[in-house]
Amino acid sequence: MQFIVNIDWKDESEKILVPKDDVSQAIKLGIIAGRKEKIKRRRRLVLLSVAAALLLFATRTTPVLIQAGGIVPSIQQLLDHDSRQTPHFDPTMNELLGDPTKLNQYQTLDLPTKRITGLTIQVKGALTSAGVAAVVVDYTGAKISPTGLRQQRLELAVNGQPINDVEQNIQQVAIGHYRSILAFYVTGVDLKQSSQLAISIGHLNGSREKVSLPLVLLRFADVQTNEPNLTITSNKPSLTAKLIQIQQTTNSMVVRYQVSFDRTQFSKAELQQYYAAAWLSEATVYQNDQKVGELNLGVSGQQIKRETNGSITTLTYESVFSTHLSSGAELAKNQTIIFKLMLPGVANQRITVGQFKMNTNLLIDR
Amino acid sequence: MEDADLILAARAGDQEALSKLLIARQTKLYKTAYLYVHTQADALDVVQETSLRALLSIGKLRQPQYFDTWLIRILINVAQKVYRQQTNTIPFVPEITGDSTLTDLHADLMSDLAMIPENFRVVLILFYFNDLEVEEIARVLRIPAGTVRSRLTRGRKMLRERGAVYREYRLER
Repeated sequence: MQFIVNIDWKDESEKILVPKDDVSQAIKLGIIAGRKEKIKRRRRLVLLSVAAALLLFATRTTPVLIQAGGIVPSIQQLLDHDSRQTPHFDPTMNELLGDPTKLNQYQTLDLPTKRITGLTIQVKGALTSAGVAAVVVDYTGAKISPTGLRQQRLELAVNGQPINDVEQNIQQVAIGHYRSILAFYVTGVDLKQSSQLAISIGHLNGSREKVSLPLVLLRFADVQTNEPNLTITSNKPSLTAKLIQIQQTTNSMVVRYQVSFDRTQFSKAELQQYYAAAWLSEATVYQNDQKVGELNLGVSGQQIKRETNGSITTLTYESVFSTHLSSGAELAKNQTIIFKLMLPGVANQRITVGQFKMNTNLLIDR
Repeated sequence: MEDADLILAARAGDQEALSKLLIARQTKLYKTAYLYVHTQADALDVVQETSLRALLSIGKLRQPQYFDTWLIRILINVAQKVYRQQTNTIPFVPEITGDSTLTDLHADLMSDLAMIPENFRVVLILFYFNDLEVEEIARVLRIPAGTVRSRLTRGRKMLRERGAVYREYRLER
């Protein structure tokens, strides 16, 4: 016997059970994975740009080197499509250093070479943008071990202050010739002044040798300094925060901010947390109250000074942001940047202290 | 915030806005994926991969008003890929969920759909379960509307000729 059935497609569709929590989770995981993939793709693009910049730079400055077949293979091999050589290469750092149109950021260096155990080492050039710098170091010699070079212990210091995180990419230029790019964030310095970069390399080429290279003078071109003097006062916790200075170049800016609090108002445990960190990690850009994107963060909450005056402690920090939006758009006039200031709280919960609102006209007046 | 604003924000790089848009459509996304790949695990994979691809390509969405069409196209592409991997490995066995709310008719319908060749099945899914018009399906699949109509007709015919639903029940629409 056959039934006469009218399929109610809507009803049939409703019979499909939807595990909503799992679906939401899948969406979130997809977004997170997409974000990572985006960073990876940007990294590839920027590495390509770095290579293009180096090529243009080399073409302009050292054509002889190119004719000798020196720099071109190096540039090609600097492309690290699978991120195998530079698994932690920083996308914002790459973005800031990788724009081929900003060749004026390059400094050609003519520093003395260092010779040790058959290896010649020379710093060839430097790239800078507010809050970030990179140097190109060449290694030549008969017995270079690429693995040895990658495993070297790098110690960098700017004006005597050690740099904790150094990103490195090494590739072969020619037989017996390797080139590395060392990139790092620079905070706590007056960008209008030259800074001294000291480079020391331990376990050189896989050996037990350690070498200190001649000091490199880092110069930041066309630095503009603004002092917005924005203040927020928060009762929870009771403290005052100030956005005191922005040093910017074409592609990036170093945002200096202070957090002041009365030590007598807090427990020892709270004070320990507040001494440890204050993050200015989010810079959201709005135009006519519509969000247009976020500034790419380089590094956040680098403590550069601690002062005490009676019971008041003032901590000074810096964050580095790209002046390009994560969406790829450029920062424009008549926009508002909202910087969110956060402090560590209990159980890893961050406390939002408040927001600094700044008109972009302060940054873009040229 | 309205959908249109969220779409614009998402296109400008606001990942939270995109997340909101996707969550709001999660039922439809999951059901479409499930109808295509037949298992919960694969359907969740399809939704996850769709979210990833949506994030990567939202910046290229030129006409925000076609967000849903664009999104369902991504999902169909992902589902096709998963389905093709599936068919290279194990034969399809319809998944019956634990609380057994699926009726026999529903289970048969699911099995029947799984048997229909991919080109026809996707049109049936979009037409009957996603309530898309022929023109919209044409836009999603980037095929002429006439092709959609003929696939719809032939898909229905296949269901009738091969499917248990039509064998065991007499259907009218």
